[in-house]
Amino acid sequence: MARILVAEDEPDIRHLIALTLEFNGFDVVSVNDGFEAIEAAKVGGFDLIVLDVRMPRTSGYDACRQLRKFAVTKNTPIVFLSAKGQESEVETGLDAGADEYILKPFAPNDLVERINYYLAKSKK
Amino acid sequence: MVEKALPEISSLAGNHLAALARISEQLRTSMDLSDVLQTVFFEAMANSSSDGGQISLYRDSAGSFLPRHEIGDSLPKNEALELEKIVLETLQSVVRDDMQGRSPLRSVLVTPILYEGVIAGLIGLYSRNRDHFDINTVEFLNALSNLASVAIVNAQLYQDTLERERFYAALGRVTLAISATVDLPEVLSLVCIESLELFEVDGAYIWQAEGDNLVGSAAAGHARDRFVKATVPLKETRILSSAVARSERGLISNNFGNDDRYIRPYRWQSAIKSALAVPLRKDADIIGILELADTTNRNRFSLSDIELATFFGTQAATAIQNARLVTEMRKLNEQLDLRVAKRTRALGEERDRVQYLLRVTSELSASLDQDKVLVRTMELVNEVVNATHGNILLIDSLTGEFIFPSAFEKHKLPPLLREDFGYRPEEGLAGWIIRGREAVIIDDTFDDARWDGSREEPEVRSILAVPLIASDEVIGVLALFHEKPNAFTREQLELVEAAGSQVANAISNAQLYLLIRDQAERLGRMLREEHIESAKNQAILESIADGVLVADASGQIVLANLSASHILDIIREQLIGKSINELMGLYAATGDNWIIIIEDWSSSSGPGPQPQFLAERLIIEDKIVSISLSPVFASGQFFGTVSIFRDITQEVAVDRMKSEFVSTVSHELRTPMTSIKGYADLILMGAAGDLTDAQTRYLQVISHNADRMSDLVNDLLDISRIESGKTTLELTPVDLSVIIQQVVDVHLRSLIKQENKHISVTTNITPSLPLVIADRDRITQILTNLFDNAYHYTPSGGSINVKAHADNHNIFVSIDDTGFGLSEDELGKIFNRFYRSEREEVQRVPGTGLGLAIVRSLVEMHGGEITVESVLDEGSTFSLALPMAANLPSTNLEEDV
Repeated sequence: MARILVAEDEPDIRHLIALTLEFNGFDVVSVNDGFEAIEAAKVGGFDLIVLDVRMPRTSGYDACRQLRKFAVTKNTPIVFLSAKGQESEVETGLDAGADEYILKPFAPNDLVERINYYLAKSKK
Repeated sequence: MVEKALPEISSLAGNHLAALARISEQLRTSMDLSDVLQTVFFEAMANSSSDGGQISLYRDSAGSFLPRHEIGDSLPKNEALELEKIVLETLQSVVRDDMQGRSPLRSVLVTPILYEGVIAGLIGLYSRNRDHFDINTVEFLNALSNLASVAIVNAQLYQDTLERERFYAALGRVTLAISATVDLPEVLSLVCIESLELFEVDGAYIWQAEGDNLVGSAAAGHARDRFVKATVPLKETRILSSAVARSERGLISNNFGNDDRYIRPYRWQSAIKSALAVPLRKDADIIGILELADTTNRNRFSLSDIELATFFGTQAATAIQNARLVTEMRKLNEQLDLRVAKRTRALGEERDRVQYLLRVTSELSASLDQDKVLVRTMELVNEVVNATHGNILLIDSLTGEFIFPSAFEKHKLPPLLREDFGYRPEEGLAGWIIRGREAVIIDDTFDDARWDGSREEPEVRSILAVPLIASDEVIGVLALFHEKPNAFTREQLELVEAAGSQVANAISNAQLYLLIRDQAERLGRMLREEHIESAKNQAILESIADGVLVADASGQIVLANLSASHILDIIREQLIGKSINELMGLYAATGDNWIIIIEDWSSSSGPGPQPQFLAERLIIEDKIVSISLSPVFASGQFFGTVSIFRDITQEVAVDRMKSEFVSTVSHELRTPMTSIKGYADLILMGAAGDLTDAQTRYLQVISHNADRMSDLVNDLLDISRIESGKTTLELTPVDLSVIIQQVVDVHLRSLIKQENKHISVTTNITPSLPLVIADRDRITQILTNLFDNAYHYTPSGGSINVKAHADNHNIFVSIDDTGFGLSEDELGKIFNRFYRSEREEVQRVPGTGLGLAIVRSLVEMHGGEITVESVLDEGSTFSLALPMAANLPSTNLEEDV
């Protein structure tokens, strides 16, 4: 079972993502912000990481850039799931090293489909 | 008294007739009055055998008879007077033939000498015999007196004439003597002395007015020394001289010592028996009174004496007046000599004098009323000329008509007229003078055709007029008038001509001065106005927030306003005069670009450059500045450039805030929508257990509407980005046929499949369609949007047909549907933001009204064009034309495959 780290400061949405993914058969670890995400991820053991962009302490962008520096997460697929949809924001996210930038609100099926796509891609 | 019977003709025809014939012959040859009287008297005596008789002449002035010859017995005085009285009343012969009394005379015959029915004298014959004078004698004497009357009157006339001749000859001598003298007291004294001889009197006096009195000025003969300084009041008409002064005519008192009509304030006057006084008249003026006195004879003066004395008085007055004038002239001359000497010293040369005159005249004109100066001039001139009135006519240089700046009338305030009185310079006497440029004296207007009395002043008899010539131009006429003929002399004309040239110069100078002053004032006013105008413009230029910088044709900065100085951060003094290329390098590459354009324009000689707006902005310290440039042409020639700088720092900041706001809002909207949609979807997935059909349907509505809101936010973000120019295209060679196929196969068919709507889709794409330089994602967005519309607005069972082909420049794509179509009205609005048709079938389809607006903006960003054709209820065709090569507004074509 794939193990996914979700970083989201908004509790309702964090819960929503976790529920959606768990309902679709993923093992989900969720944290409150970018800092916690880095702490959790550098221990290792995640197949994919979902990051919000705007979070307290450490933003999703900064967390992503950090994670790309760690050996354990260097090749882990990272997907942004953000309400920030301006072109420059999307670009910033991809430039920070993410694989995908999904806009909120999201369709659960789409999210699951994209996650499955990256999981399959990283396994190769 | 007995009237005699008529005489027999025969008796007269006898010796009397012969005597009459003889007498007649004798009288014809004699013009001497005494001779005539003597002849007549002797013949009367001889032919009537009288014992006495007399012949007398009648004197008008005394109303009595003056005996001229008497012979023999004389009639008693009272008898003689009574007879004279009867004769005067009846004008007929009177005979008395039975007289009583102490006188020995018993018969008297008195016959009047009548000339044309007026009595001239009488003949009286006396006899000691009663009834001495028979009818024959009476008839003879009548006939004789008839003969005598003619002879006597002729002789009297002759004698009068001789006397007058003598008088006038004497008068001529006297006047000559007086005129030769110019000393006033001497003239007065001479007039008195000559009067004694001329009028055979023993006292002559001249009174002159001094205030309210007449004062003795000169005298000769009786009481000469006492007369001088004698003073009598003018208003006292019981004094002879005062009465004359007031009545202005000569008066006689032939019994002066006892005349009740007059009082004699001085004792020496009581000795005077006869007195005569006449005014000394010069023209209309009385300059004194001449009084003549006889201390021995009463009844000394007759009316003809008044006439003669008056005439003499006029001559004397002229002499006196001349003497006065000469005295005044002498004074004037002395003053003039002094002034001439002074002026000659002061001014020296002629040129200096003209300059001085100009200055004096200018000052006069500036400080005094020119009219008053002219009137004063006229009055001065007239002191010598003595006209009754006069005027100056000037030609108005504008209208060519006369204006009437100055006139005077003796003893009256001069009227000042300036209004146009419609008198043209070519008319009348003035016109004649102006044409002839010649001064003129008209001695009598009655005999001169140049003076039109009917339209000009009829009371004028003499005229003296001179043209006013300044700098060889006739500017007007100075005219003096007199109501009597022959009033002006050649000498006066010369004087007035001289004065006229002064007046003309003064007027001309004054006019010139006024002209110059007006000109100066006008220029001054214009300068002031221009100054104000330019100050206004300057103030406006200074107060505008945009920087304005003007460079001339050679690129030198000639003007920069305060804002320009602030924006460019260079103090103005350093900007002005600087060449534009000295700013090179100060404002980075974009600044240099601006300078290069200006230099290109300055060096270009071709057709005029077009105004430009530089897309680049200057960053000057913390300011962001936009520049627009405009060439300036004046009459086809390149004059320079105007650069307008606008500090857009604020606008840029506002723009940034706006995009931040949009970003924030969209984020804040999406977050709650994420929860709404997410949880709805989660429940729909069955994460919360099984659902009833109704629950499923309701949750689907929630999810679907969350999607719509999300789309709206996306569209809003798009349109806001496009409009603020933030959206940039990532241009790469794109194969449209691939994109069309992808959108149709992946997007459209999955929609159809998903909703299970029966729509047939056909594609008709020309093989090997050329590539187009475009932004792949944006083209996909455009096509997706258009296919979405076609799908949503076409009812089930309809069809969508896509075609694509190319010509040399463009690729054409058309998406044809069999949907609801658009009305004519809707066609015009379909690309407007937020426009949605009101029709129910359209409203059922969810949409924001932003899709086509975004599509059109994106197509235009690619340099393409989108059009729509539609028939209501039959379908629509959206046609897209995209250029193959980049004929695009933006230049950032990236080499990226």
